[in-house]
Amino acid sequence: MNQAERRFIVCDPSLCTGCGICELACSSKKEGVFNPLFSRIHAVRLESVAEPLVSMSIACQLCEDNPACVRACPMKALEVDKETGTIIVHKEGYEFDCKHCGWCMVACEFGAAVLDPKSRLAVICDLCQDERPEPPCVKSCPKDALKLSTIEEVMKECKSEVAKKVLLEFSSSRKSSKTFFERLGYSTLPERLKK
Amino acid sequence: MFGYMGKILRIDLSSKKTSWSTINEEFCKKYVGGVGFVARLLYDYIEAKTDALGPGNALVLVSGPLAGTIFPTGSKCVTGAKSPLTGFFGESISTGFFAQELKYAGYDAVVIKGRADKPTYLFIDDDNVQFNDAKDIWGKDVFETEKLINEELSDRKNVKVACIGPAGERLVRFSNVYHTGRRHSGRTGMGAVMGSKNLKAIAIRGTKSVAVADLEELNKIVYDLHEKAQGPATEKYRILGTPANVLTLDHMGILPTRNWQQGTFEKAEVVSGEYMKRYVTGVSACTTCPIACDHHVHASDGPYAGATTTMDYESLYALGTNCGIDYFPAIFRAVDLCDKYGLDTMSTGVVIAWAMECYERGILNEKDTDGLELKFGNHEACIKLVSKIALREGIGNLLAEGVKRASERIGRGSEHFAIHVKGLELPGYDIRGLKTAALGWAVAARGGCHNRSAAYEPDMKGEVDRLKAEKGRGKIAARTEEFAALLDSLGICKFLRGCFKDFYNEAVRIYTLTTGIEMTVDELKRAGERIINIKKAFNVREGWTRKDDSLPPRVLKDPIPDGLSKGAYIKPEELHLMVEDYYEARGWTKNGLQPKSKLKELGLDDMAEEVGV
Repeated sequence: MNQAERRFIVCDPSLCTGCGICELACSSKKEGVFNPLFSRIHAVRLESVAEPLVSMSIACQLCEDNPACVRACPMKALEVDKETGTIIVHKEGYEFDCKHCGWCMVACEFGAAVLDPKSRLAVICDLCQDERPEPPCVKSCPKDALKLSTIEEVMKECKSEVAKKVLLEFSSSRKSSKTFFERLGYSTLPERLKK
Repeated sequence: MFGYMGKILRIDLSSKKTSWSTINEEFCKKYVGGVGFVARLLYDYIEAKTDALGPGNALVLVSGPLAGTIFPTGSKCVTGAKSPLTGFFGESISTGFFAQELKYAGYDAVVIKGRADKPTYLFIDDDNVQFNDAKDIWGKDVFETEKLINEELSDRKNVKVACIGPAGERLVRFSNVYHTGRRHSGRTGMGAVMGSKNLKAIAIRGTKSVAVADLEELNKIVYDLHEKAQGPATEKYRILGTPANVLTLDHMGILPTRNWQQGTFEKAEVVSGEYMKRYVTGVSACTTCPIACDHHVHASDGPYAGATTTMDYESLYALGTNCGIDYFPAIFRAVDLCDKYGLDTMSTGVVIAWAMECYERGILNEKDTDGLELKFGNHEACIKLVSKIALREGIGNLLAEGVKRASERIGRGSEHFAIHVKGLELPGYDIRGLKTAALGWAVAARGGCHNRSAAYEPDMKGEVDRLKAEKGRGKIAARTEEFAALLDSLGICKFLRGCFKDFYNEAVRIYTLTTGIEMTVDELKRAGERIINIKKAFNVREGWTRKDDSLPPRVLKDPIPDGLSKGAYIKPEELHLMVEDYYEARGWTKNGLQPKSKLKELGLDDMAEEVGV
């Protein structure tokens, strides 16, 4: 599979409610019990008093070209699966095996790599290849906030979202006293646009 | 053990000693979990007539059999203690992340007794319990407290916190307990109990797992419920949230307005769920909840620009219509302040509305109110008063005692419009136009409460004539009360109730699949009855008498003056008839006491000896 065709788990924060069901679906699939520490996907609730709440779940993003976790592993126990793009963590018995140091965990900017609290091995989402069409986390999401998408699909969606927002802002700004640019946060029209 | 962890953690703050005891299958089956466990534990761990704010009171935090699993809305945490507000059985439920983490730490319940000699916070890290110094967080609001504890323990993701704000520290009798996830155990003053123990917070983290007996079959039910929870049964909660009630209740003439002086609000339109939509920035869900009813709101301009909070109907009623306030951003600010200080919004709103009526009737004047012009609709005064109550400043010190004590102290006829049952301020349904609900609230063990009685449903749905009091309502109120007790014990949210076709049959299946313990529908119903009886026995032991099962004088004397329910009120003889009917349905004596035989039949022999007649 080439990189553009690879699907990974994408969360839409405008739909995510932070309920954490995906974490439990993951841990029950992978370990047969409920425990978020075993989960390969992580629900994050960013709450603060002043700002509105933002929630989203993050799993392995399938970083391309020598991902940070693979580079960080001093034991060379991590490897990118050529077919799916997921990270394989080699265990005891393989030439290089995970020695529980957690460097991959530190290196991953998405917080997607963690150490299993029981075995202390690094665990990273493998997209549950045996579960199709969707992994349990995606299937269990009650708000359909999680999706399996390719990078192209994500970009297409982002573009249409941006277009929608711009049009919406534009049409509503004609009715309001504020200009479109003021609504975007500029106090006046940017100089270069005035010309 | 499946579902349960089989362990109760006991902490003594005075001696800084911890111990644990195990619970067996028989105990689990008998009391189910949640409120059922709380009822049993409070009865066992609190001696009769203990001072609610003394070291003898026991604070319990309990999870249910479904907490920690993927079961939708299953992670309810019940906080219980003898209530400093009512002097009777007290408990309150929240669905933050605490119950889940309690299970992961390996416990079904934690019982806290004694009193720490200085401000303390507990850190329960699996089997390890630390008594940490709370010097630096004492006085901080709940959000800051949570943040500081997470920073001190250097774990933001896994440490879950239950804490009190400045109101709890000052023993405001209706202060609440905040739980990680912006949820609160709001009612009956559990925050004051924590405050009285010098206990600022309980932080918890666990690494254990919750296993269920039959994962595959349970998952089928879970996925089915996920789907149903996106259907019509929960639409109200998902689209507008509970504020959708405002227009419904206004139309029915049972929207309590200006301290229950009216049944409709002329400005209902602008405090409705529909109107609130424009302030909504997003929704969030409690742990494992597929519904997500919690609506986050934000006011971006006006005098309260920046006010951000989450809104539900009860807060909206108490600090909105009941205070005659028709400006959303002001209500947001008031609710936000209540949350930060750790005050129960419902009790706060009712007690402020009472003060406003006192002011308008000349019972309180500007000198008493520290210069505040406490007229209905004056949101600036209302917001100032919230802070005063939380910090017990000036008149706030009086109001912090709750509406019952405050009206007794002021007197001069103000008891007539003190809206409470057993000292607990009433929620936002005018029960003069919902007579089954009126019965349910009069007899409820924890005082005026819609959640523990649930008897408003037959009234609202039109199963019975809501304006009529007749024989037979006792049975209905008893039925809904047991249903509510079972939901609270299993730990299932009431908002999910519409997704069950045949609740009892489905519930026993869910119970058995989760815990592996066989249970029949009859046994489950019996457990519900048992739980109600323990709560009652607790109250009887505390000195409950027949006259405690009553309603506020206003409900018994003043007819609703406007709207569809115009002229409705509960005549004292109607209440008498219904209450006796309820006692009969329960198998209690005419005076509402429990016969020894009844308690023995339910397997409560110790209570039969102590309180049975």
